[in-house]
Amino acid sequence: MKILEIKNLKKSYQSPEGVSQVIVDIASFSLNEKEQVALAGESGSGKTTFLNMIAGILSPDHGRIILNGQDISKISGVQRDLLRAESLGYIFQTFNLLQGYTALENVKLGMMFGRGVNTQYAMELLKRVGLGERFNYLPRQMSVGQQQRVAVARALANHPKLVIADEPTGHLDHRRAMESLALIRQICKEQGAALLLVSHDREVLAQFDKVEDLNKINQAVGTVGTKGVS
Amino acid sequence: MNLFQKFENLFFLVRRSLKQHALSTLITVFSVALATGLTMAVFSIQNQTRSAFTGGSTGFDAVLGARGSQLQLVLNAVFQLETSPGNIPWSLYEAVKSDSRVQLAIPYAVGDNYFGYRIVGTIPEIFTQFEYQPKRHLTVQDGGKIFDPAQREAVIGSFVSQKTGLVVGSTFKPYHGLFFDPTMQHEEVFTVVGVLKTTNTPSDRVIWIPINDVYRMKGHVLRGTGKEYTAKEGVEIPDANKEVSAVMLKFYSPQAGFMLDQTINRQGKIATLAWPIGKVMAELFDKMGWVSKILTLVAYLVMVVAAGSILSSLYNTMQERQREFAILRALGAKRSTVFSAILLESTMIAALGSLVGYGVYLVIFAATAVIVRQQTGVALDVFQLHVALIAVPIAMTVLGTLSGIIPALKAYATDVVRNLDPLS
Repeated sequence: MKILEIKNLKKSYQSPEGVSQVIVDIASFSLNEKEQVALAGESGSGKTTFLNMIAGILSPDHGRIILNGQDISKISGVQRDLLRAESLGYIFQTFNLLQGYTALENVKLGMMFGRGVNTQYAMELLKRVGLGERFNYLPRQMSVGQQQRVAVARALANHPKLVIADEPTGHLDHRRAMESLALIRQICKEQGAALLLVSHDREVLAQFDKVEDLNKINQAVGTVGTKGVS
Repeated sequence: MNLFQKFENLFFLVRRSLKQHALSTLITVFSVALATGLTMAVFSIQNQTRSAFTGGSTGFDAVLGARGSQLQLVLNAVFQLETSPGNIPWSLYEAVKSDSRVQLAIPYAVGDNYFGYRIVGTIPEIFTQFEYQPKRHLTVQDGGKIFDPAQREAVIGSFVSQKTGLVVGSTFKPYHGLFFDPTMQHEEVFTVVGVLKTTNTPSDRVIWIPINDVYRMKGHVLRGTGKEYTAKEGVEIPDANKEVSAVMLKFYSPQAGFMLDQTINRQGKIATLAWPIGKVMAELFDKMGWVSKILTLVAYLVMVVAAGSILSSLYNTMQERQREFAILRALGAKRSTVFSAILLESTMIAALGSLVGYGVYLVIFAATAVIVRQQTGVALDVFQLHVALIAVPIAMTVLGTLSGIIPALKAYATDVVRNLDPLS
C-alpha cells in the first residue's frame, strides 16, 4: 500500500523580473508504507520545495499529493495542519530546534499538535537516540550531533507514517553522518514509518536499496531559473 | 486531543515565551501594574475623600460663623483647614443655644497653634454632649481626663500627641496665629490632662483648651461690643465682650436647619449659617470636578499607554519569532494556534500586571492616606471595597487581550517556508 503518491506535480516561482520559473515538475512519484527511499538531488534541484509540498507547508500550482490516503491539495489548511501533525515527521537540514526549549520540550512539541503530549514516550525516544541524560539541555548546550538526534526524536514523536529528511547529515562529519543515518533508518524501521531522505552525499545514498534521482524525475531541473533555488 | 489539552499546550507555549523574553515581560508587567494600580487608586481615593468630606459624619449639622463664605466656615471649623472668616458675638451663641430647635451648640474660639496644630477654645460639652458618630463621644485615653474650664489645661488629639510627643502631664506654651511662627510664643503654660482616643476625624489634630483661656491669653483682644477689651487676671469677662469664631450646631430636625437658614442667611446680616455641612463640601467637590475629571482622564490614558506597551513589546519580538512560528507550523500547529498563543500571551501579561497592580494600588493608597491624615485628620481605608478594584483589572486585561490582536495577526500570517531556516 502506498503511503505517498504524487502525480503531475508542478511548482513555479515568480522571479524579481516577473518571469515565472518552474522549479518542480514531477510527473509521478510514490512511496510504499515502511519503504525507505533516498532522493539524490544536487543544490538547485528543487528538493526542499518538493519536500515542503509533501509536508503541506507549500502549495503546489498543479498536481496531486496523496499522503496517507488524503489528497493534501484538496483538503483545507486546518486539515493539512492536522495531517502533518499526525502522519508526518520532518527532519530539517538545520534541525530547526526551538532554542528556548529543552531537548525534552522540543520532542514534546512534535506531539503537541497531533494526538497529544506523552512525556513518557518523549523520554523513551530521547533515550533511544542516546540522549537519556540530556532531557533538560537546551540546544545551545548540546553538540551538533546531539541536536540532530533531538530532531530525529522529534520527527518520530507523533508516530508518523512518513518521515521526510532534508540533507539530515549535511552538518555532520563523515563518521557521525553514517552513525546518524543508521539511527534514522533504524528508528523509522522500528516505528514502522516510511522514510524519504534527500541528500547529495554519495556515501549516504549508497546506504539505501532504492535511490531515485531527482535530476531525472524533476523535469524542471536544468531549465532556466532553477539554479540557486531549492 | 480535548479542549483542556489544547489550552494546556497553549499555556505551555506562552509560559515558555514569557520566560524567554523575561526582561521585556517584566518591564511590560510593571507598566501594566503601575497603570492598574494608579487607576484603581484614583477612583478609590476620589470616592473615599468625597464621601469622607461630604457624606462622612461630622457629628454636627451646621456651623454658625461670621458673615462670609460658608465653605470657609466649614473648612475652618470642621476640618481645621482654612483661616477663620472672623468672629461673632457671644450673644449670638447664647441666642442659638437657647433656640428650642437646637439640640446642641458648642462655641469655638480659634487663633493659636502649637507647632502648627490648631488650638481650639471650647466648653467641656464637646466631650460630654457631642457625638462625632452616633453614640460615640470624644473620650480620653486611660490615665487622662477632660480639662477643667477653670484651669489652664488641655486635651489633645491622638495625632497631635503622636507627632509632638505631648502626653498627659506635659506642659506647653501656645503660639499665636493659626500657622506656626516660633517668634509668636505666648507666655501662658498649659498642662495636658488628657489624650483623646483616635477618632479618624479632624479632631485628632486639635488641641482643646477652655474657651476662657483663649480670651485670657496675653495679647488677645476681644471686640464683642465693638470696642476693644483685654481680659484682666481675676476679673470675670463680661459676656458682652466675648467673641467666638464659630458655633457648632446640632438640630433636632432638618426643618430647623431650613428655618434657621432662612432666618440667618437670607434675612439676617450679622452671621452665616453653613448648612448642611455635607452640601457645602459637596459644592467644593463639584467646583473642583474638573480636577477629578483630569485625574480620571490621565488614569485612562495611562491604561491605554500600558496596553500600547504590551502591543509594542510583543510586536517587537514578532520579527525574531517568525522562525519559531514557522517551526511550530511545520510541526502541525494551526494558524489559529499561533494566533491564540499570542493573544493568550498578551492577556497573561495584562492579567499578571493587573494582579501586581493591587500591590501598586496599596502603596499609592497608603501613601495618600498618610498625607490626607496628616493634612486633615481624615482617615482613608485602604481595604474599603470599590467597584474600580474589580472593574479596572478586568478592563486592563481586556485591553491587554485587544492589544495582542495585531501581533497575533502577524504570527497568524507567518510564511512557513520563507521563515524555515535555511532553504537548501
